[in-house]
Amino acid sequence: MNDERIAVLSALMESLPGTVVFALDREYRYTIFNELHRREMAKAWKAAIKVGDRMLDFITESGTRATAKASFDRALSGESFAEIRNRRETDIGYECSWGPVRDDAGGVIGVLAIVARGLLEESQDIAHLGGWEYDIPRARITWTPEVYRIYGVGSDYDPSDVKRDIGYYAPASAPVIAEAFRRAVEEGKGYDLELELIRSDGSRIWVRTMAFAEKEDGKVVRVSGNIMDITERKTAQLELAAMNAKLEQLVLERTNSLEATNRDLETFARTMTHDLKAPLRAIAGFSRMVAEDYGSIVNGEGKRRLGIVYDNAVKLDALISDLSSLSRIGRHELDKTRIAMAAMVRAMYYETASPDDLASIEFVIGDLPDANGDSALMRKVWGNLLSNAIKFTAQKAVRTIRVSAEKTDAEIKYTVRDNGIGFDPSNVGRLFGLFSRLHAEGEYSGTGAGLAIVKRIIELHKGRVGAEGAKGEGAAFWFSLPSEDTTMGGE
Amino acid sequence: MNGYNQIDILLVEDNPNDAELAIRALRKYNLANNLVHVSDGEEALDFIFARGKFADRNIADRPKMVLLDLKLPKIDGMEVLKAVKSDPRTALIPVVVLTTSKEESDVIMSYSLGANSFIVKPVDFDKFIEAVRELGYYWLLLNEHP
Repeated sequence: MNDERIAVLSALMESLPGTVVFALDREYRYTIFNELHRREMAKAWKAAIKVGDRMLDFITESGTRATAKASFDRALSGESFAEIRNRRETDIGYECSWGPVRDDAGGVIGVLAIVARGLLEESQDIAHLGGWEYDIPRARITWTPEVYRIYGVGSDYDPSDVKRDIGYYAPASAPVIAEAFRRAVEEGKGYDLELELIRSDGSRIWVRTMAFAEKEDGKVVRVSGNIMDITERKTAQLELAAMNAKLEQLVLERTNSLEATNRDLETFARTMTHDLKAPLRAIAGFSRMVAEDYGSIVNGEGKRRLGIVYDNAVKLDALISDLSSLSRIGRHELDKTRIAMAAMVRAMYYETASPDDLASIEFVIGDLPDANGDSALMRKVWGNLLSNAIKFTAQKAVRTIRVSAEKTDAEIKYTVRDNGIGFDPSNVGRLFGLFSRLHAEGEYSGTGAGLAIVKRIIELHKGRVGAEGAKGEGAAFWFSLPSEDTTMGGE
Repeated sequence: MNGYNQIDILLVEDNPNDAELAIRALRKYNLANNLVHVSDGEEALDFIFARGKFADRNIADRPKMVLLDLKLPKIDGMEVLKAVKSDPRTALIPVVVLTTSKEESDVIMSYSLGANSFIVKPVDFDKFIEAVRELGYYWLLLNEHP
């Protein structure tokens, strides 16, 4: 054969899907073979074949070798024939064609074998999918080669002993497959399970095993199925599940430790408040007692100084209260309800203003839309804004405080406007900071925490705060609440 | 020795300064004439239930009012409140809870256990006097006693 013919022949051999092609000379030595045959030999007999090797030497099982030799010899005698052969491990039939190879003079110089393996088996091989079948009337189980590989057993293993087959499953899996198999055989119910199997060499693998039952006249006659090595996927899956569980555990631990920290902080704040206030009560109370009981021997300056002690104790008390309420805000869930704003503003105004204030202030409430919010916290907001307005209008001859609202698509903006002393607009950024005061301590009372508390509460409600003003020309403090929140609940 | 039987006020307060301030405030309005001061929860219960060192007291001679601090050594104020309010012999004694902060949980808990009144001890001495005076008048003079 010239090179070109050999090339064409090779191409032909390789292009036949699922077909094994090989040729031997009279000494059963390879003259040519295709890739699929090479793979088959490697797999079936662990043989690395090359041209010139004696094929029969690789077939280590004597029965198979004898059958093969008989077929070769028949072809070498000049006969072309086809036979249905069963694969040595399985009962699945496939067609083998045998024929003599002749030289130009017509003499037989070798044998050509063409074996059509069948596409199914080929594709099962590629997918590492094993097939099996249980012929119930004959009580016979057959496996494809892949099943043998999965179990890790040799070709001499007889799979017809169901109990022995099931014995390969891991202790936790064996009862599951036994019951599933029983139901398939007795009731015709199929199954699809992922189970653990211990191969003959002791290695553990995961398999997916499926079964389908066939009935004739209402009786199950055949159960067939697939089995597939899914160790890789299962391992990944199990690892993922383990990682997820670990992650969840970690999140849980973090949450717990955060909650513990939060509880600690709360206890700390409460204890601090409690323990700081007791000495303050003593300082204030006893300095007052001294002033009262020893009034005749303490002179005016002495009384003034005792007064300072007392006033500072009261001031420190207010500070502690504000700090403690600031730290409480936000540690609890908002308890939102529908708030009748106009009514709340009116109530807070009368609660905050003294009789003198009430008499001298012109107080105007505009049209205030209702809103959803935490009622206790919103009362604090209004209380702080109103007491500021009352406080900073105190020196005016005519005092006005107006509360109004503006509704847009996005939010409702509530404003408290007064005609008081106002503030320098360049200080607007500092207004809502904790303990920032724009006025000297003696001038106006207060701890400087009020607007910080307002800001914290409004931010918890996902709203905004702001202020506008000019020195000597009054101030306007506003806050907004998101509109979707204000319409929720309906009117 | 039955000096303990005609008692107007039982003051349960562990902080001696707070106790002194309270007594002074009550005295100012002549409300402290028959006052007993105990400084822990156990002693308070001994007094109310006439046992221990108050065993020769008559339990039927109920104090007209108990001023009860919540934070107490040995037996907590809440426990004292619970014991007093769950015993039919003492349940009708008015108990006014004194505390440092308006911790909401404390207020709710106190009322749910049957406290009759609840006052936050103010640092401001004037407010303190005012609070003590108001509740003294209310529970000792205005309120009908069982």
